[in-house]
Amino acid sequence: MSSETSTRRAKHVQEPVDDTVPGFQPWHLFVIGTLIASAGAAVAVRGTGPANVVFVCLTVMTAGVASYALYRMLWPLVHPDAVDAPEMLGGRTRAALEREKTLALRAIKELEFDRAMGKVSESDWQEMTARLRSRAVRVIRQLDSGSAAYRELIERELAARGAAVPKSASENRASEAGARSAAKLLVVAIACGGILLSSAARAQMGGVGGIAGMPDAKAMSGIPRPEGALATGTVSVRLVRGQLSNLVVGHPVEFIANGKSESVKTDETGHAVINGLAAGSTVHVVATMEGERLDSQDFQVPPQGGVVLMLVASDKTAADQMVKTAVAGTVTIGGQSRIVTQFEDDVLQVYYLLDIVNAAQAPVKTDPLVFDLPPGAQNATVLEGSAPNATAKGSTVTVTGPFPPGVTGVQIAYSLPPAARVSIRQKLPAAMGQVVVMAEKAGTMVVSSAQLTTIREGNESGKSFVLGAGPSLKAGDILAVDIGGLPHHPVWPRNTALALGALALAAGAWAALRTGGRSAATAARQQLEGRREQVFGELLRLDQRQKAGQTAGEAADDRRGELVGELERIYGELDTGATGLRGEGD
Amino acid sequence: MASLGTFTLLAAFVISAYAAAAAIAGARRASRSLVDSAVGAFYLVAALLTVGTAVIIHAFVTNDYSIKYVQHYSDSVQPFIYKLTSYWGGLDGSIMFWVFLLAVFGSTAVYVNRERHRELMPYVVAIISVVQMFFLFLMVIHKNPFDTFLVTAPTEGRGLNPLLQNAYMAIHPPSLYVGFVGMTIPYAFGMAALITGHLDDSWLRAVRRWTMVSWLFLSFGLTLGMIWAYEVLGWGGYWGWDPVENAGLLPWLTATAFLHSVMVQERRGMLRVWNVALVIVTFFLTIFGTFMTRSGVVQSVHAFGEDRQLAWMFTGFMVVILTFSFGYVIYRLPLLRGRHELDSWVSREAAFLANNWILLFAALFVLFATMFPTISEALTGERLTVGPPFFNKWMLPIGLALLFLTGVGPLLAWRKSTVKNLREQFLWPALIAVAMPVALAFAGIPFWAPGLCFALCAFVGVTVVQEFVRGAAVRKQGTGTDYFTAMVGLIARSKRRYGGYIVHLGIVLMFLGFTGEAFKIDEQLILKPGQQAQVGHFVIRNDGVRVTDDGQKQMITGHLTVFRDGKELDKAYPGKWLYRHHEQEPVSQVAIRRSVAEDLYIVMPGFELQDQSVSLQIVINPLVDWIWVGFGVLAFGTMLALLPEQVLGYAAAKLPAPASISMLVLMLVLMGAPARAQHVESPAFKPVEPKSALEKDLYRSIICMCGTCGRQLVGECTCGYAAEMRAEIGNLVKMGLTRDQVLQYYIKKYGSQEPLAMPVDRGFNRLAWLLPYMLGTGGLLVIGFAALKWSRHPSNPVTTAAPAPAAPSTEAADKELEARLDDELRDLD
Repeated sequence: MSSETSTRRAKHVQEPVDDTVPGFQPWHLFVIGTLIASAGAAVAVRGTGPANVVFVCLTVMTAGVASYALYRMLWPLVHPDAVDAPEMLGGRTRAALEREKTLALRAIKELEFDRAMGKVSESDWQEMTARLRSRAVRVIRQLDSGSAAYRELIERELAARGAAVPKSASENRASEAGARSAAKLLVVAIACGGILLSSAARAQMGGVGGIAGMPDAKAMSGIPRPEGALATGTVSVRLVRGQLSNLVVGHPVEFIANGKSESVKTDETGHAVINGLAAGSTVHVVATMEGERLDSQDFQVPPQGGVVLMLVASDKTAADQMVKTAVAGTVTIGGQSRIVTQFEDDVLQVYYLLDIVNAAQAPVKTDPLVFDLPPGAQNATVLEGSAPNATAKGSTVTVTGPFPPGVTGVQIAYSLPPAARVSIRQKLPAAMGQVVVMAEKAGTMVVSSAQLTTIREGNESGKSFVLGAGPSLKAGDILAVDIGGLPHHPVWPRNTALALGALALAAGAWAALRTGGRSAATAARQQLEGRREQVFGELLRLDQRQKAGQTAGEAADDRRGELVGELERIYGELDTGATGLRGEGD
Repeated sequence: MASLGTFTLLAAFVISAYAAAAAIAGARRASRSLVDSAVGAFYLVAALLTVGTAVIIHAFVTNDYSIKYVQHYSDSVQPFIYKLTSYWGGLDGSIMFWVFLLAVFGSTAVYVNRERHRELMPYVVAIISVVQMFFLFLMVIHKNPFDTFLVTAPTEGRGLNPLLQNAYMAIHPPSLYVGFVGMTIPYAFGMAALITGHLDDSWLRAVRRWTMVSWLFLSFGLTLGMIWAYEVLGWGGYWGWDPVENAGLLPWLTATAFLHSVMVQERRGMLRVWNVALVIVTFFLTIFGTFMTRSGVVQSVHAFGEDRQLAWMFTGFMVVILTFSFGYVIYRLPLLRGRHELDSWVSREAAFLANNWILLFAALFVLFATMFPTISEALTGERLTVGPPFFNKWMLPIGLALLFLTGVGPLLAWRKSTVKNLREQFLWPALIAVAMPVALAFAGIPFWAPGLCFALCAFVGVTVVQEFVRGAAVRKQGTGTDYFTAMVGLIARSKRRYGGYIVHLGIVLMFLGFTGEAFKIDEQLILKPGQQAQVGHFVIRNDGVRVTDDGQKQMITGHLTVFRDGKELDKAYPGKWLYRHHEQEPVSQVAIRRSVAEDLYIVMPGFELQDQSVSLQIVINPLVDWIWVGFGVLAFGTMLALLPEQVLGYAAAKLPAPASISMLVLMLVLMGAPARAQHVESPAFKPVEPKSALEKDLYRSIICMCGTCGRQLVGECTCGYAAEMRAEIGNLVKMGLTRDQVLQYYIKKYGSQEPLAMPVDRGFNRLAWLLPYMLGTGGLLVIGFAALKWSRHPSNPVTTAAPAPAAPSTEAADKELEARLDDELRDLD
């Protein structure tokens, strides 16, 4: 038989087909079901606009496709016997080998063409074509191995087996049984997930947003402001260090205008002024103080009046001075401090607006004030405008001393993951004069705490707040506030899906590793041998029935031909399995 | 519906995990039922994501603003088509769209190859499922597009970014995404071959077609991106080396290398490790590109913004990919050894080797230059810019070298070329290539680089034509048909080879278009009503400004008349569109008058409604449309190569002969047409103030610092800030500052090198300048070493390749098989 004509399409697992009802395929049922469901959906949403009707129908149709795919996934597990294998030759399908042969033939023709075009020398052509021919012959031989060469052997074997009853096929299906147990485990995982997930149809996954920044005092630095009182073309810059009253005198400030740079020193009022700039010219102001570069925004000189701006440098000298003069002592969290919560971007934002009070006349040195934020706190940050010695790292905020006399402002912000109820447990590193909690109301929010003696609701600027206040707390006490009734998306559907995914992978790994010491090749061989016994059994029974005159005719002959064909394939596979093309070269 | 959408994502995640687990367990236990169930699960993931897609599109179409993503990226007045494209307009939806395309593309690949490569299928399913799992995981825990508002849903949406409300943008991202996700298929097959040890050439054949499809979509996406940049961004160019553009280019370069090197493995059994590595690297670069776009590690006008959590997840996934993939390559090295050596440096395989080295060098260079600002900021704290001039400095010679090899490769013989071969093949192409720059020199076109590029284009063009002509002659002789039939039959018989040559022709046309950049004219001016100005050989007159509104946007349109040679040529209507909810982001509407020789390109960056004056940027772009024509030819060639073997087998005579030659001739004729300047006397004539060479140089050396336009050169950016910077540069030059002084001025002004288009060659930045040299030299050394090692092997190919002597009993069978082989070869066309 020519290898060209040897292409024989084996019965594949295209569809899990029931041979007894050849006219009706399972997918027909799904098509009909989908069409009925789509029609039903169209009726249900009629009158809601054509776009809605069309897309609802489309969604229902895609769901129908998904149902069929689910059937395709489950069918081989429920009916493993219905899975019919494609013809495998030496570990490769017949189709793959046929293609391999065609490609080898094409490559030979291509090489001949190259030779005719003078693109390859005679000796090279001979060498290359010999190799390609050798490859093509090998593939043809392999293709042939799956054909009638085994027919004689099969007939001999069949005769030898006589009327003996074949062994139970189930004995030879150990590997399938093992595989099915693994499959069942996976199915259980999926089934659980399906039930849980489907009951979670109304559930949503959560998300965490960022914390919005708040304006700070230093944000004024570098922002130009038109000043009608100044002469036209005048720009006045005020240079301060730390506080507005801490003027910097005699320090150079650079004005860059239209490519021209001019340096002016600040006067005794801390101002550096430049005059005579052309209206419309772009100006940029820069000053550098102790390595800190202070930039203005770019701005244009207005046609009338001048511009004023301020550059604010960090006050390092004052800080140094304070360290030197600081004495040991304590600080408290002042009574004006607030704990504010706001439901924003679907997360609960918590702000500690703290006044650290040093009641002494001199700077006070203390141990650092450490705020270990409540469990689950995310995106902890110290807001701009806080004292520079406050830092956030992970979920810990540390404020180091010394503290100047009076009030040092520290604003801490963090978010808590969305949940129906959140608990804020905050250990206080210093005594708190009064507990004040302000919670912007969202949904059916309820604030409760044993430490809040009064809790009431109020309105401010059209927003509802829950305000709670309580007596002072000592350093080391834990401030405990619970906020319930928060809007939230349940996280259990997400966690269930993640758990099921992990379970499926773990079960897969278990099933993949527990092959009982058999390699896939051995398993395949055993499976083939098992199948051989099965087919021989059926063939024998068929022959017996034919001999007994119970069955006859074309159908029986066809069935016999099919069974013999399958045996040929199995023998071919058993013979060539060890000499396949794995890693083989040309 | 949002709940249903969330359910589909969660279910798809679980089913993907099941598909991966069942496929691997089935393969290991040789259980067909498990493998088939895994394949069914794989299809189910695609179906579930289709349901999810239907749900989200339904939400967009019905203005369901309870879903945050829908509210953020659409509004009620948005046209229907852009409601559909809003699906991928934001980060969350783009991830979902990505995984949806991957599922559909993967399912198609598995379905098509289910019989041919059944031994690889379980692992292919498992690997694609794991990739799907990663993207689904991102959505499940971090970026769920079906997330709803918890408290009160707004009644109106924010609307899609106006820049994305464009027909090209409707097609560009899906095309690019298909190209990206398509590269997962070759990777999955490559890894399956590595895992199973089936490392013969069959897996290559399985993936070649998929790589070609993905490559075509990538090319299409990149070209659409260029057209979009050209027509929508309004800066007069089409490629700005933006990080997101580069993210698409990187896998395109390595995939191009793979499509060439795969031929060497098929023909000569060489470069087996290299091909596997290229497949892995290409896939990795698609993930890396996605990481760049979505994590915010690079600054780009196209990027989705910073997201550190996403960045870490991608980083973890990329580390896993590299470790797993190259770990397996190392494990399988014994099976990946080449079967043959390099016989000669003058051979086609050597040309492919050079081509691969240059393409990989280009990819590494682009990757490095794109990431350099991020690396620099991380290590030195200084933010700087690596802009188009730096890229062009290197990519110009790289492109020319590749163009040269495009011509040389097909002319060389496999194994080794003899002197006779060389003489026969190179005579005409070389003659034309030498004659071309000489002729162009007489027309005043400089040799470097336009002259050389034209010469190389001619060289490649003649090569391709010669291949067709000689091939047809050989076929005519062999089949005895007429010349035309022989030509059609030739293409029909070897679609891949001749499709490839047509692709080369497309590349030539694209290079012609790129060369036009050397003759570009770019002017900015302000015209009052009735005033006119001359730019190149065109005269533009301002006829006023009109304001209209269509409910979705306010449209300010400049009415201009274009003259040439004193005659009215056309009307032009550049405009600015201000979309509702996006009034701070006006979109330029560019007026383009196209012709085969040049485009007249007019943008209206500013206008004054009171006095009806317009501020215009007028660009004359010679040859630019040949880039788009070139892509058309490239796509035609690729599709021809992709056709199944049976197609055209019987209907070959119906195929029209390619019109490429006539196009090329037309091109050459048009190139020779001199651009004549024309002076129009008019009281309203406004002369365009000529800019000095220094000023123009500075326009190309400094980037716009407005912070929103995405590092465009100040000479090309049309925003108001750029106009101010140009005026400032003009003043600085008038004051007599040198180039260095102006650059120093900007460094001082902004406190870093960020305003410079190229980092200054000192300190850490020297690395940016040195690395291309180091990469190039290192790559050359490695390839040279490897090639020398191959060529030193004692080569006796005939004896080594010949089959082992057959045993006497099998000799007869072998002879019979040989005879059958000859029969089948005779029957094969």
